[in-house]
Amino acid sequence: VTRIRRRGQEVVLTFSAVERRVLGDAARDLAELLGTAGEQRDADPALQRLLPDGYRDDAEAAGEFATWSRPDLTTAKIATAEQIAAAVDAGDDARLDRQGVTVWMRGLTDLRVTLAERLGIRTDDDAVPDTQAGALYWWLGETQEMLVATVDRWDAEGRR
Amino acid sequence: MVGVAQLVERWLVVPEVAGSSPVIHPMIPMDRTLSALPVEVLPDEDVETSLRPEVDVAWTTVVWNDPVNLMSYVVHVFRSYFGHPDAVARRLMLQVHNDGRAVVASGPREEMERHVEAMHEYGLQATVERAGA
Repeated sequence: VTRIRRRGQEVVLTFSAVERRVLGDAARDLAELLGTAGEQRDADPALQRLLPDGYRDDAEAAGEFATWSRPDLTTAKIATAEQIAAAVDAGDDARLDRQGVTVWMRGLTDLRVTLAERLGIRTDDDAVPDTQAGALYWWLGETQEMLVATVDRWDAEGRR
Repeated sequence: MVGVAQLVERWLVVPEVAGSSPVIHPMIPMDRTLSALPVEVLPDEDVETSLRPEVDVAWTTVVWNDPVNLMSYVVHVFRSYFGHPDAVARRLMLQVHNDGRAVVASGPREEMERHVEAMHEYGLQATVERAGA
């Protein structure tokens, strides 16, 4: 099971070999998927959730917003996914500074958003399927929850 | 180009390591996700307009409910990005849950577009909206 702990000005995540492979593969898949956004965004509901419209009920404004913001947003999300993949490839421990934690929380969220779409989790009433992909979805959520709790305690120390 | 079916297939397969079963445990209960909170009756306060007293408040940043994001994460984003105190961040998160959406900022259009782009970077569903729409 993943361990997450504070060590000075770092958060250290320790993964098992299986977790490293699963997370690395998922992050690489996500980066690859985002790489197709230029052509596929409007055809793939997962890309639509990762790269949402900036306006509802105003197609013209949404189009303009997408034109200036979507390339950068896509590039940032690809970089985030690649950063996670590189970190789990490098060894059992991922050592994150404060900004690194934010990158990881964003990346884990993008993974969960994508996986949710693939698993059909689109409304409050949709259950997580009892499959290995469903277990991965839970695991990503659990890891995210621990990471948020850890960084919230860290931030609270800074405010005291 | 990556096919959707290919991605699903890859994601559906959790690789096995010889001699050990996958150490992935479904431990996080559903009721910690944003949209699975119990519905609470909130005081009818006009949180959004009291937060940003700019003169030009013709536009707003709206965050929408979704079944994926953890409530702790949404509170974290509202606190760390907008600088809201914890109680305000939590109240806004609850508004998103209870009403399906919440206005989290008001002001000039360009500023709201930057906020929405930032929310998208965090993985939240957000849009720009004309105030009072």
